Amino acid sequence: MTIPMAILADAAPVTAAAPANVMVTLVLALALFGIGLVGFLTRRNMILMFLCTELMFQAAALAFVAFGRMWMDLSGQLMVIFILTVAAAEAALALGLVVLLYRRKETLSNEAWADMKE
Amino acid sequence: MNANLFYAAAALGAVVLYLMMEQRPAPFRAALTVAGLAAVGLMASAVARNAPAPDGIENPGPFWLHVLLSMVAVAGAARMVTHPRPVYAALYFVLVILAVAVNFLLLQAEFMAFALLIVYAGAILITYLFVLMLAQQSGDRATRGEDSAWYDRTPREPAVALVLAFVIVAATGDALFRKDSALPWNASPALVARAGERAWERLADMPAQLADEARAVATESAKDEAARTAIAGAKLVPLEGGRMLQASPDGATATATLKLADGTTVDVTLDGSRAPDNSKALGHALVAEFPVSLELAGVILLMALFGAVVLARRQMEMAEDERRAAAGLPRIGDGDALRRGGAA
Repeated sequence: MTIPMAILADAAPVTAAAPANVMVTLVLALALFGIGLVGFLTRRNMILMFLCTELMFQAAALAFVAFGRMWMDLSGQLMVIFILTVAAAEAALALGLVVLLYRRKETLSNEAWADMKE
Repeated sequence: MNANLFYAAAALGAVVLYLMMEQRPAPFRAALTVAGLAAVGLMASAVARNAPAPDGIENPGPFWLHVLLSMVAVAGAARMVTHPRPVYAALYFVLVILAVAVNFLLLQAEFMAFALLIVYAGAILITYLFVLMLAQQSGDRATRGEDSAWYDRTPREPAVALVLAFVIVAATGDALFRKDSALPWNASPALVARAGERAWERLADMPAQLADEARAVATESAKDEAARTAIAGAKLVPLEGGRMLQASPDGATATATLKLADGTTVDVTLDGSRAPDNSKALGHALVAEFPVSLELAGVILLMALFGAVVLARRQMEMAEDERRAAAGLPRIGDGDALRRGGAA
């Protein structure tokens, strides 16, 4: 594989990854997932709750690519294409729903819909 | 390996995030930023101490680039989760995406890096911004003179959420830092060879591409203009076993044979730079190895399209008669038409 960066150029089609690079990416994915989870639980704004799920999607995508790099396999990246598709579909539908909900109660707070718990 | 340093860093990060939840004066915010970056730095040093030693692969430059990008991404994510104004939160998410995309580049996933930028930063985030602007007019009832609504300023149960997230992150991190982990941190020569072989198999699946690469390699070693023109018209011939391309045992190079118009054959050796690049290999894998996932993605997008149309449709109150007329049926009051419709 030709890599457009001199630091990664190598004669072999696929080069092995340095363990530290993969590991630090996985730790980053973990941190992003944790932050996204905190955001999802603490935010009261419905749109931002969805945005926090997107952050968790990002973390998953990062982990997929890092593991794919570790195994030197493209399946991880293919999974990310799938994640992108699902995220796009989810954004379109969830935001459509949020707009409908906003029209009904004139607020984005998810607590306006707390009576749906019963 | 021990993960204590990682746990400490995660705990520090959780405390910083807890303190960021409320609005703070500027000096305090600066101190929090430093502490948060220190937490990421601690995590990076935990990785640097515990990562399996590389078998002489690459220089440490990319590692520090990864750490720098992690700091940008985590800072952006923390601010996105705590910012009281939703539009700024969405913009901080763009920062996270940029950092993740550069990370993808470093992990040799060039296509995904740019797809992420185009789809996420370009399309999804713009949708979010549109909806935020649709739903948050100035002088909103919920805002009441403040510059953001109450529900954006007050977090819900931050302590519980942070403890939960810390437990999940620490438990998963423990799996990552395990010494007896089965993960191939250092790729075995067999794994490298198999990956190289797969890359050459992909090239062999693209005959025109393979012929072009073989001719290009042969042209490089051609002595004069006549030899170059002869090579330009050369065709690939199958090697023994019927394959067009034979990978070397370690997967680093592959050989093919070209046949010139005058019947002489030229053996060419392709090195790693001739293998399909990331986007070509990805496209090949998507269509040749996992076609069902491609179809499935199409179905998901189609369903989302239907869903969006159903949600966006204006709900019209129609009387029974109008509904029948819209469906092409005769009106109820129209007795003649009903009888004629019945007869037909």
